[in-house]
Order: sequence, then structure tokens, then C-alpha cells
Amino acid sequence: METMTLGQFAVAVGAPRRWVQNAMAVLGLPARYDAEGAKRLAFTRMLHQDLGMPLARAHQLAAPAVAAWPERSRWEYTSADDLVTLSVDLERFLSDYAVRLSLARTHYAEKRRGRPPKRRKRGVAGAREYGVDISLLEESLRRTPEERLRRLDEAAQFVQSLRVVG
Amino acid sequence: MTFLTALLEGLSAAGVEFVVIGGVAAGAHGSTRVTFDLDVCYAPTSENRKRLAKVLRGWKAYLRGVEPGLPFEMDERALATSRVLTLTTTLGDLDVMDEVAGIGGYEAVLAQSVLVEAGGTRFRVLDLPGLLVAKRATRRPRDIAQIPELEALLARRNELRKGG
Repeated sequence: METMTLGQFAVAVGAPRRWVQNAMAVLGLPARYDAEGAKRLAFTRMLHQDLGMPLARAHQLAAPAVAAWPERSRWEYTSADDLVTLSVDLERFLSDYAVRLSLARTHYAEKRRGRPPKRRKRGVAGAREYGVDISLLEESLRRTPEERLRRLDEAAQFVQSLRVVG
Repeated sequence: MTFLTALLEGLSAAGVEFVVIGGVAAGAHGSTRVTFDLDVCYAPTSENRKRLAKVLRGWKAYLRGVEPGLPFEMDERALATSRVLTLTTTLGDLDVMDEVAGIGGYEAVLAQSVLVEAGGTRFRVLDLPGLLVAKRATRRPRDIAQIPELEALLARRNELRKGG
């Protein structure tokens, strides 16, 4: 199964990194970050944070709960003395989890820590120093926004149509 | 019709209130980078979310990077419960969000946008200073890498406006 970084895993769980690290340490889980683990920990967190269930018990119940879908669209749990019944909309839970998983895989990127390195030059000189081809920018600036967008659209379509054939 | 034109026409025709941000906005201002998705910031009103969700359902929008089959419903609730959705559609990839890092919510983004016309469709795109603010605020390496080009475009554009 595809693994993730801690940061991606925390996004998929829907929790701060620190909470994930602490919870995994308390539960004695190895530092392995994958989608199935994120799904179970997200359910664990919901039971623990929202309903006040002890973390270890919540994690124990999370495994059969997330495995119940698609056979069941709701997960229900009744306490031993029949006094309390919990009901979780699994489809809604999984839909929210899927949104976070998508963001973790497509949108998340590690942020650069600390102060960015000082660049000596800015503007055109700074860009040239960085390796930007200014002649391309100047050519682009001579076009209207409509022409630029048409070229961008065509370029994207062209690159997407490329296939290695040999 | 290419994918950007189709997505933009579709959003406009459905009456969705949105501002184009990200790589396509940068392209409108002169960036030479090719981008393969459209990023838009939308007005987070109930009516607008309904319009957006309806047009996205028509394009069979699904979460990008997620195995098919999870119970995802593209509806007003999905838009309301996540600030960002990264989607794949039958027309192309589309990211929708209700705020932009460094700028704020839709109204702030709208205030920093300019009107553009392409392929007979009019829509708003985040202006160049706004794009720079957003790229700096995310602190993601891929956004930071684009800053020198955007700074050069802004400097050159200001020179041209002064007649330089």
C-alpha cells in the first residue's frame, strides 16, 4: 500500500501532526503512514474527541467499524449494559475522509521552514539570475490575456497528448 | 474546444460566481508555465454552492488521487465542509476553494481581481500582485519557485505602463 509522509497522514486523519504522533505513541503503533491507517485513526479520533471514549477503546472499535462499509451504511455500537447506543453514518464519515485523503495526496506539500533565503536581486534582474527566460515573458506580455490563455490551453492539451512511442 | 475553455464556459454558463487563481491566472498575466488544472475561488453562499455542485455533478467530478468507489457525494455539503476540493472531471482537473492563502475569503479575492475575456467568455482572474501574495503565503516549494517569474512580470508590466 502506498505510504505517505507524516504531514500527509495528518491531513488525511484530520488532526494536527502532534496529535497523530502522540496518539500513535499511546497506542503503540509503528510510524507507518498509509491510507488504511489514516482511515482507522480518523474514526478513532472521532470517537475519542467527539464522544469522549478512551483512545485505546476507540481504536479497538474503529477497525470493525470502518470495515463494515459497504455492507452497512451505518455503524452502531451498544454498551454492555444496554444504556448507550452509538450510531455513526459511515457514508458521511467516509466521504469526509475521502476529501481529506484527496487533499493529502494532491494538494499537500511540506512547507519550507524558517525564513526564506535572501535574494540579492528582485524583479527582472532577480528572475534572470534565477534562470527565468525574460525574452519569453516579454513575448508573452505583447499578447492579450485572451491570446495568452488560448496558448496556455493549447500547450496543456498538446503536452497531455504526447505519448512516448519508441 | 479545449479543457480550460470548456471548464470556464461551463462555470460561467451555470452562473457560478468565481475568480480564477493559480496557474491559469498566472498564464493570463503572462506566465510561460504550462498548467494542467484550473483553480478557482468561489463565493461561499448557499445558492452559489448549489450551482457549483450541480455543474460539477454534470461533469462527474470525483476526488483526485482517491481510489474510485468511496461514498463521495458532490453536493453543497461537500463544498461547505471542506475549504478546498481537488477534483477530476470529464473535462479536466479542477480545484475549487472558498479562500486563498494570504488574501482571505472570496470577497477579498474578488477585490483583487481583474476581468478577462477568452473564447467569448468573461470571467475574473486574481491580479498579479494578488498572485504574488498568495504564492508567498503558501510557502510550498512549487509556489515559491514561481515567484521570480511573477515578480519579473510585475516589474516589466509596471515599466510598460510607465512607457519604459
